[in-house]
Amino acid sequence: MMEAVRVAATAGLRLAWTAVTSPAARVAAVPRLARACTTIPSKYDERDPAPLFFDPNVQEILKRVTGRNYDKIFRRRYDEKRLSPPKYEFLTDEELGELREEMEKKAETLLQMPPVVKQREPIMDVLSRDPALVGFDTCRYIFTDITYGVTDRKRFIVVRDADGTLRQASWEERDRMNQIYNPQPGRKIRSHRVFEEENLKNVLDREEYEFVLDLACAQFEPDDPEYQRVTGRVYETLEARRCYQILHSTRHYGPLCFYLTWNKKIDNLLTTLIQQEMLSEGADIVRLYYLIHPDSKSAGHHVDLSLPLETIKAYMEQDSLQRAKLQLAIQAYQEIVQQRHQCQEDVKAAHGL
Amino acid sequence: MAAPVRLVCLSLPARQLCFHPTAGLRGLAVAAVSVRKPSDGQQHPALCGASSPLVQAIRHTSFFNRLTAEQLWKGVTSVSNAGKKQGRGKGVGKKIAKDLNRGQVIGIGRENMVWPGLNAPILRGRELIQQHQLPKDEEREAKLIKIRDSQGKFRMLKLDPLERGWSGTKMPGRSIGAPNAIGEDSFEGFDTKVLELKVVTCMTAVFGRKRRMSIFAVTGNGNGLAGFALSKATTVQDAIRKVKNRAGQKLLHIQRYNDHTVLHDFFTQYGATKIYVKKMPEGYGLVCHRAIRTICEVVGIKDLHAKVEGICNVQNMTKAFFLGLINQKTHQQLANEKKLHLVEFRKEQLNFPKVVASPEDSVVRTRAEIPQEEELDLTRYLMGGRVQLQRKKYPPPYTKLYSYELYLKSLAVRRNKEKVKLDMLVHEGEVKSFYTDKYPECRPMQPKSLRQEQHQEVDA
Repeated sequence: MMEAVRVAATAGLRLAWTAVTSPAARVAAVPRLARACTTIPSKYDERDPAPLFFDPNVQEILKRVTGRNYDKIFRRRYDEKRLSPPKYEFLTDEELGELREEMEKKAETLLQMPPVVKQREPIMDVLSRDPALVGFDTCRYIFTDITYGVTDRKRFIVVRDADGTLRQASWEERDRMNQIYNPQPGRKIRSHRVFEEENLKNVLDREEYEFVLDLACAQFEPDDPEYQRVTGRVYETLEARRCYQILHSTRHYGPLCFYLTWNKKIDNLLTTLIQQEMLSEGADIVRLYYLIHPDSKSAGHHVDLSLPLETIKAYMEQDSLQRAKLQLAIQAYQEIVQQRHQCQEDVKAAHGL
Repeated sequence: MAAPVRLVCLSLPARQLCFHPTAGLRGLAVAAVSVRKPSDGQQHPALCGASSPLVQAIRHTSFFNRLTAEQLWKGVTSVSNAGKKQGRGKGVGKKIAKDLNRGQVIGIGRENMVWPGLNAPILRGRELIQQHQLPKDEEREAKLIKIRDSQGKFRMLKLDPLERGWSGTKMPGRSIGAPNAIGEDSFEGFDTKVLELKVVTCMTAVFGRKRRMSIFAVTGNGNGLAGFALSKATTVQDAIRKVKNRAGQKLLHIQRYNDHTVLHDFFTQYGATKIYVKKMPEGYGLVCHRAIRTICEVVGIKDLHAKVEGICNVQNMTKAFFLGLINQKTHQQLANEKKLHLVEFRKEQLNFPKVVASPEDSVVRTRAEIPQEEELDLTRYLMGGRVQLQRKKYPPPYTKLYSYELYLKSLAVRRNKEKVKLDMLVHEGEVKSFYTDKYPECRPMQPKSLRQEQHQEVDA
């Protein structure tokens, strides 16, 4: 009973606040947690997320949720290149339309999501044991097949240890050899020190999330445990600070949503989306949840595509872990909509329409 | 005035008597008597030092104490008009008037007297001070001479490097402050810079050659308001005051793109001076004639490329530039004229088409409505069909030598070493070789600053 009263009182105050402020201001005013990340990031090491991630329905949802803010997608990157003066052209409507279509395709390629796959298993394959070779040298030898046309993944890289064992190279040795003989741009042989825990914390405190994620994409393969640790850490920090919109219209938003949905942490995300009045995106997240966790309680219910609020409500009633907050947010939103509608009616009446 | 007395012979005591102030008229009378004695005309050197001293009669007033110090100095330092024509009285040999009052105080002179009321109090406690003489100050003369010696030297005005104009201590390029306020309108944020300072002459019937200073200056507030003016006056200060106030009366509003450059490329001319102006991105700077650079600084343009062709006359250049600036067309105007969308493409934004302006009446022409001869290229349209001559750029002559190939080969060896060094500093913390861990003496030479730091750490 007391709880209900408290909830109602807070709802009243919240209503007053939400009526005055804009959605963007509301999200910005949410207090940031001081201890940004006490949770250990979870990795994709048990269940393989790849079949689900590459499922066309899931891909469609993730692409739709990412957003298309062209100013952000095509923003200026600070890559130490000299600026050149802008060029101007007179265009007709048709030419402009054609160019816009080209740009949409370009945006698609720029928003290509880094794949979400299961962590790779360590390689333990031994090809032969030759104890007769013990003492032939003090160092071990790594043999790399540098045939042209062979991809890095399929390349043969074997190691002859000092004790005579001939084995397949481990993943670290493979990465190093591939980078030496077939260097990829943006990748270093010795990994950046930014990915060490202390430095990562530093960078995340400065809120350079996209920078770290882009660097991780360039340096690691998607199934590298290091990559999954770093990205998991960034996603956890964003979740703790509730600033998901920083990654909106970037290629990392899809994997972020997938990560949160995989680990059943979508409540804060839904609250934020409702506060920003992006209900269709919220409904998309819930649909994604049902695709990833088909055994959830409300999954079997009929999902009406035209009523996003109903979808979110259905999820909230059955499967939500932070029901109260979500309920509050939905209530506040409904009341705002009603107030707005009322306001418009009043204005119309005042004008005599 | 006493009658002058002719000098016959002058003995030493007599000479002293001459210049002694207390000689007086009595001495003159005595002298008159004593001098008329040897009328036989013979020179008698033995007469000097004889019975009565010969006194030289002196004037107590002459030009020396009748004229002011200024007039006296003018007599010594001035150069005739003819002399000036030949360049006399300029430079090292120029005589400079010295202020002889410097180093002296009223009340203290060669005789070190105590004048109560002037350089001493009248009463010291209950005691009345009497006029008396103190021992002579030997160093006073030496001090005065020293001051006067140091006075005459012509010292060059010390100009702060930031205040300097285009060249040395000359005025062109230097700031002369904001125009004077008129009533309530104060020219806040305005700065005036001199573009030309000339000495001009004309022949007049009354005075002959009349010399005047002519200043051409431009004023602006760094935010789009600017104006230029030409004024003449007899002195430089008067001319400065006139020109900046006049420039402040003739202000123009100039439109800029994002507050850092012009709206678009254009061509202007005034007289025989032609200017091709190009719009440039942030960070490019002002690559143009120094006069145009000064004008851009006061207007508030930070990035520009301008090529002056024809005659580089500063006044015509300024007029041409201002004409071009005020005849610029805004994006909206261009879109309205052409009835087409004006779209911006930026390389750093992956050439994303950004619609900067659309026709206001939303009537956009279609491909079919545009005649084939119409000029659709914006730069050519704005230049009026003019094309700037692009001179061919030749590689430097040393590229043809064999030694250049050797140099390039040596560069190739070193080209990645900077990155390797940085990488090593990041991962290892210091630049070292494979032997450094095992043999501490195998450590590469550190730069001086680092070595000093290490010494400090060791000491501490």
